[in-house]
Amino acid sequence: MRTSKWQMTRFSIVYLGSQSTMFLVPGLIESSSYQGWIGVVVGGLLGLITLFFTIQVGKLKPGIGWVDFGAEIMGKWLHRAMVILLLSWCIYYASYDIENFVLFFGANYLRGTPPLFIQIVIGLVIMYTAHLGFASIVYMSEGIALVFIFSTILSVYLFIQHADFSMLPAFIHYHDPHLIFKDSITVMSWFGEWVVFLFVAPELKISNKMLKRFSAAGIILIGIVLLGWVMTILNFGAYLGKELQYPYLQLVRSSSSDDLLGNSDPLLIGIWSSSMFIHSSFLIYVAYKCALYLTKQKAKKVMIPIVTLGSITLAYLYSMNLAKYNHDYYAFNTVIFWLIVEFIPMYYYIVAMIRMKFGKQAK
Amino acid sequence: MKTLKLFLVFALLVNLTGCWSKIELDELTFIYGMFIDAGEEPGTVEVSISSPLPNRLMSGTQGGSGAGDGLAYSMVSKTSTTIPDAVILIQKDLSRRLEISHLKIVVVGKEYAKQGIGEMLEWFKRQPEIPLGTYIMAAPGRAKEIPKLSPIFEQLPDQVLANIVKENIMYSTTIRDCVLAEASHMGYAMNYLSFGSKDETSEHGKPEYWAGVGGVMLFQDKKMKGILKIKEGRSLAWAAGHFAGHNTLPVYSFVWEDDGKGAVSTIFLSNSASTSVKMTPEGPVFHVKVKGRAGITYFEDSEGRKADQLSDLIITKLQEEVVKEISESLEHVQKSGADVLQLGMLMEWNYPSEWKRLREHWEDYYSKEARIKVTANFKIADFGSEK
Amino acid sequence: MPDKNILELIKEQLTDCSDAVYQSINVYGHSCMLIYIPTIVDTLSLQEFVASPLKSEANSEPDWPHFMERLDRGSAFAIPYIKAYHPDRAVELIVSGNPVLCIEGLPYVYYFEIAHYQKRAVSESQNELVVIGPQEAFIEDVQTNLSLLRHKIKHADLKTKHFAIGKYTKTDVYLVYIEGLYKPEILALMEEKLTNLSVDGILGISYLAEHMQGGHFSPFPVYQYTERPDSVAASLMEGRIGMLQDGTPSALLTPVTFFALLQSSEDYYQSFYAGSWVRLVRLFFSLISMILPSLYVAITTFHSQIIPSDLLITIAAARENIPFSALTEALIMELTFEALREAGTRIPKPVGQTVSIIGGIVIGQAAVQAGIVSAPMVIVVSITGIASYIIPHLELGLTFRLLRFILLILGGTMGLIGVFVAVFVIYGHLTNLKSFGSPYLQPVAPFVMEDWKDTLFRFPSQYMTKRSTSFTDRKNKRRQKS
Repeated sequence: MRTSKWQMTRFSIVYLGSQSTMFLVPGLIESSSYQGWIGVVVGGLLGLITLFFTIQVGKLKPGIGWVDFGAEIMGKWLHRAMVILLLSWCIYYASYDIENFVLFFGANYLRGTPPLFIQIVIGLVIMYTAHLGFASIVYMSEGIALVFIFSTILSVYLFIQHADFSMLPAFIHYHDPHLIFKDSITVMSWFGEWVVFLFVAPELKISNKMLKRFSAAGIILIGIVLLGWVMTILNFGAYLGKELQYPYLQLVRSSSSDDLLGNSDPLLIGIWSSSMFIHSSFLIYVAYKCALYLTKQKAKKVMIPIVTLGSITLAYLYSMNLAKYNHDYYAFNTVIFWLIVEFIPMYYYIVAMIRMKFGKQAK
Repeated sequence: MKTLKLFLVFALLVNLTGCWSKIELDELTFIYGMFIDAGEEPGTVEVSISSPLPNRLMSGTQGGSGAGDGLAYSMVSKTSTTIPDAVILIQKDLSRRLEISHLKIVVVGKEYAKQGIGEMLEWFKRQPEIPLGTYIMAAPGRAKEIPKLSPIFEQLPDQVLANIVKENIMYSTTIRDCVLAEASHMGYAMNYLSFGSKDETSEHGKPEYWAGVGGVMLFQDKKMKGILKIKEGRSLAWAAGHFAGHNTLPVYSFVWEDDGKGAVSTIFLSNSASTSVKMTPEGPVFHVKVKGRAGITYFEDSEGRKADQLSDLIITKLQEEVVKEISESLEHVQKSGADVLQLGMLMEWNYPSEWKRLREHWEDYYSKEARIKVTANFKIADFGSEK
Repeated sequence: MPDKNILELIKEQLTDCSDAVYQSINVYGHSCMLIYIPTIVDTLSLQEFVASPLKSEANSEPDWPHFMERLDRGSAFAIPYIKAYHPDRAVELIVSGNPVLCIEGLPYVYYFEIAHYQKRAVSESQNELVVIGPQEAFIEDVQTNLSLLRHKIKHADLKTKHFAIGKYTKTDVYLVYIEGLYKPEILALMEEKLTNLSVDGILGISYLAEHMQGGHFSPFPVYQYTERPDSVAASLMEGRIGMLQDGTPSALLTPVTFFALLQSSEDYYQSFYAGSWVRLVRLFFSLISMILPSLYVAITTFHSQIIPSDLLITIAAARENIPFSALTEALIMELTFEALREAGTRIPKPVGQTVSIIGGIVIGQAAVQAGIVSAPMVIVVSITGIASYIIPHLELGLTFRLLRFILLILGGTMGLIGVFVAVFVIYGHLTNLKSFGSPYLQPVAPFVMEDWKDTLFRFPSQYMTKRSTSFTDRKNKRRQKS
C-alpha cells in the first residue's frame, strides 16, 4: 500500500467529518444556542484524549492488529467481551448512518420511496466498499477529501450572503458552565471515534508520527464544524435554528432564489454522502475484522454481508418508529454508551501499564 | 464473483422499483405564486394558485405577452379551514400534480394579515420542498385580485411581482426572514402593494390593471400591526439595513435657506445602515447609523454658487433631513408595536442579563420606552456631469 | 548422399507450395540449389549479391576447396549468411523469406536474411491527430516501427527483447524498454506471460493484451494503445514498457493510469496555458460523457426542484406531447446514436457522406418535429456524443460509452441517488484497480503531490523535473537538471 505524508490526515477528516459536520450542529444549536462554540472547541480537544490512548495501545505492538494482541493484555475472555462490544457498536453506528441518510435524502428528495429500498441500496454500496479492503478505502477517501474541502469553501461563500454578523457579540456573552460541561461531553463523543483507528494496523504501523497526523485532522475538523456552526447560527438565529431539522439544506436553498447555485443542494448532498459511505464502510470493515476474530477466521466470504445485514435490519426497525429514533439519536444515554466504547483503548493502556509495572516488580 | 452477485442483486432491485417518486415533467404543474386571503366565513382561508402553462408560454415567446391565444397562466382558488386542506381541494380539480418547489411569490391579503399569518408560516416551515427564499408581500385588498395585472415586460404576473420585489425599492422580504423573526419573537415587515386600474392605455378595450409597491406593512407576533406609506416606508427600509435587503436608490430632495435660497436633489448610490445598542444608567439606547454616498441630481442656488462650494452645507442639511425622516418613521413603527429592527435581539446578544428582565414585557417596553437615536454619515460621490 | 537428403527433405515439406522457386547454379562443377519464395524475398539483392557472384564464380578458375574455405570463413558473399543444420529449420526459414542455399556434399545449408514483405509507406496518424508536432505513425512492419523508435531514442539503453509467438503465424513481438528506468517486476511478468503463451497465432496486439490480463475483468483498459512513435518514446522515458508486434500498426504501453489515458501528445506540443486548459476541458467533458444523460433523466423525472424556472418551462413545454417517459426517450436516442456511430465506422467511404446527412436530418430534425423525442433530449445526447470523442484514447471512450447506459438506467429508476451510488461504486472500483501493480487513479488516489504537475494542468516543462512514480521507482526521479 502506497502511503504519503498527510494521507492519514485526509482519511480521518473524511471519516470523522461525515457525521459531525452534518448532524452535530442542529443538535448543538438546540441544546446550547449561542455558546455552542465553546462546547465544540473544548469537546474537540477532549476528543484528542481518546486519540492519545489509541496510539499508545497501537504502539505496544506496531505491526500487529489490536484484535490479535489484545488478548495478551486483557486476558482471553475480557478481550472477547471488548471485541463483542466494539462489534455491536460498529453495527449500531452503521445503522445510525444508514437511517440518517435515508431520512435526510428520502424526506427531502425521494418522498414516496419506501425507506427499506434506500436502505438496501446503501447497504449494498457499503458492502462493496468494505470488501474492497482497507487500502482502497483510504485511497478513495483521498479523492473525496479534495472534493469535500472544495465544497466546504463553496458553501462558505453561499452562506456568507445572509449571515447576520451583529450576532457575534452574543457568543462572548453566554457561558453557562453546566451547559458547557454537558456540551463538551457530547461533542467529545462525536469527535472521539479514534478507537476504530486501531485497525489501520497491520497495513500501517501505528507510531508517534501518526499521532501528529491524526491530531492535525482533529484540529482541522474542529475548525470545519465550528465554521458550520457559526454559519448556521448566523444565518438562522438561535431560535429558528432550533426548529429546523436540516439547516444546511435550507441554507443552500434559501441563498439565492433561482439560479443554479442556489438549487444545487443535491450536489452538495451527493458529495457529503460519499463521505458517509466511507464512514460506514470503514465501520463495517472494523466489524468484519472483529467478527472474524470471534469466529476464528472462518466464514470469510459471507461475513461482510452478514454484518451489513445487521445494520440494515436495525435501520429498518428504526425507520418503523421514527420518534424513537430521534429520541435515541440525541439522548444523553447514547453519548455515554459511545464514550464507553471510545475509551476502550484507555482500559487496555491502563492494564498494560499495570502489567508492565508488576512485571518489572516481579523481576 | 463478488461483482457478479452485486450485479444480480442490483438488477433485481431495479425491477423492484415502482419508481415511487418518479414523475415526468409533463405530469406536473408548477406553482409560481400563492395568494392567501381570509375566507368569507370566519375561520376559513382562501388559497389561490397561479401556475404557468408551458405550451402557451412557448408559443407566446415570439409574440411578447401571452395575450394572444389566451392567458399564459392559470389561476385556481379554493376555500377551506386550513391551508393544506385548501391545497388538496385545488389538487383534486387539477389534472396534474402540484409542485411547489418553484414557488416565486406569496401574496397575503390585508384581512388575512390582520387575522394572523401564523398558520401559513408554520406550513411553509414544515414543507421541505418550499424554498425559503420565496418573496412575500401584502395586498391592499384581496390577494387574488392582484394577478389581474397585465404583465408588459414579463409574461406572467408572478414574474412581475417577483421582479418588483427583487428591485428592492423598499423591502425584499422572503419567507425566511418572516420565519426567522417569528421564531425569535421579533417583528418584520414586507412590501405593501398598491393596485389599481389605469384607464389611459387599455388594449382590446378591456380594463388594464397595474400593481406597484405602495408602502410597508408591519408585523409582530403573526399579525399585522401597521402600515407605512411610501416615504416612511423608504426611510424604514433604509434604516433596517440588511433586514430589508439591499435597498436601492433612496432619493432625497430638500430646500434650504441661509444666505440665499436653494434646492438640491440627491440620489444615494450606495447606502447602508447598522444598529447597535449601548447601555446607559437609564436603560438601553439603540443607535441606528445610516451611511451613504450621494450623487447630486439637481442643484439650484439663487446666489449662483456652485455645488462643490456648498458641499459641506449640502451634506449637513442632507444628514439633518434624513435623520428627521427616519426618526419620524421609526416613531411611527414604535407606536405600532412591531419591532421590525429586531432591537430585542440586539439586547439578547449584547446584554443578556438586562434582556432577561425585559423579555417578558418587551412589546410594551419597545413601543413606549425604547429610545432610538438615528445618526447619519454621508459623503458626496459625484456631482453628475455638471459642476 | 547427405546433402541431397537435406534437399529432398526440404522439397518434401514444400510440396504444393508452387510459389517456391528452386534455382540451380553450377559452381565449380558442383551443383547448388537456391531455394526461395520470390514474393517474400528481396530478389534484387538476391540476384545481385548471391546469384550473380555465384555465377561469376563458376566462370573463373575451378577452385572448389578454396571456395569452400571462403564459404566457411564467411567471406564468400557480400551479405551475411548463416548455417542451418536441420531441414525443418531450413523450411521455416524459407517460408519466412530467407533464401536457402543448398550445396552439394554439405550436410547443412546456408541462408541469407533478405526477407522483403509488402508494406505501405509511413503515413500520417489517422486516429491520434495533433495540430503541431510529429505526424508520422507506425505501420504494420515491425522493423520499420523499430526504426522509427530508434530514430527518436538514440541510446544503447533502449532494449528490444524479441519473442516469436504463435504456431502458425510466428509473429515477431518486441518488448521495448529503457534500461534503468523501467520496473523490473512488470517486465518479468510480461516476459513470463509471453513465453508461456501457446496459441495458433496472433493477428492483432489486443490478443496478446487479453492473454496477459489474466482473469482481471474490469471494463477499464489497463493498457494504452498508441500508433505514434513519439508517444511511445515519451512513455518509455517515463519508465513504461512498450510492446511492438509485427502486423499491427499500434504499440501497447503498460502500466497505465486513468489520467495517462486522458492525455494527448498535443498537450506537450502546445504552450502550457493551452495544454492545461485543454486538459481541464477534456476531463470535464469526459465526465460529462458518462453522466450527463443519466443526470438529465434523473433530474427531470425525480428532482425538478433543481432546474431553474425558465429552463423548466422550456423543457416542460418540449416534453408536452412526447409519448415516452424520459428514460425511454433517452434510451431510444442513445441506442440510435450508437447505431449511427457503428455504421459510420463500417461504412465504405463513398456512402459515408450520405449516412451522416441522413443521420443528422432524420434523427435530429424530423424526430423532434414528429414528437417522438424532445429537443432538449437531442441536445443532451449530441453533447454526450461529442464529449465522448474528446477522449484521446478510443478504449477509454468505449468504456465510458458502456458505463453510460448502466448509469442511465440507474438514474432513470432511482433518481439522483442511483447516479451517486453508481458513480461511487465506479470510483471504488477504479481506486482498487491496478495496472500491472500501479494504482489506476494515481495521483488522485493515492495522493502524490509531485505528480500533480502533469495531471490536471501541465506545468511548464522546466518545472517538471521528476519522473512520475506511477511508472518508475523512486530512485530514478530526476529527469532533468532544474
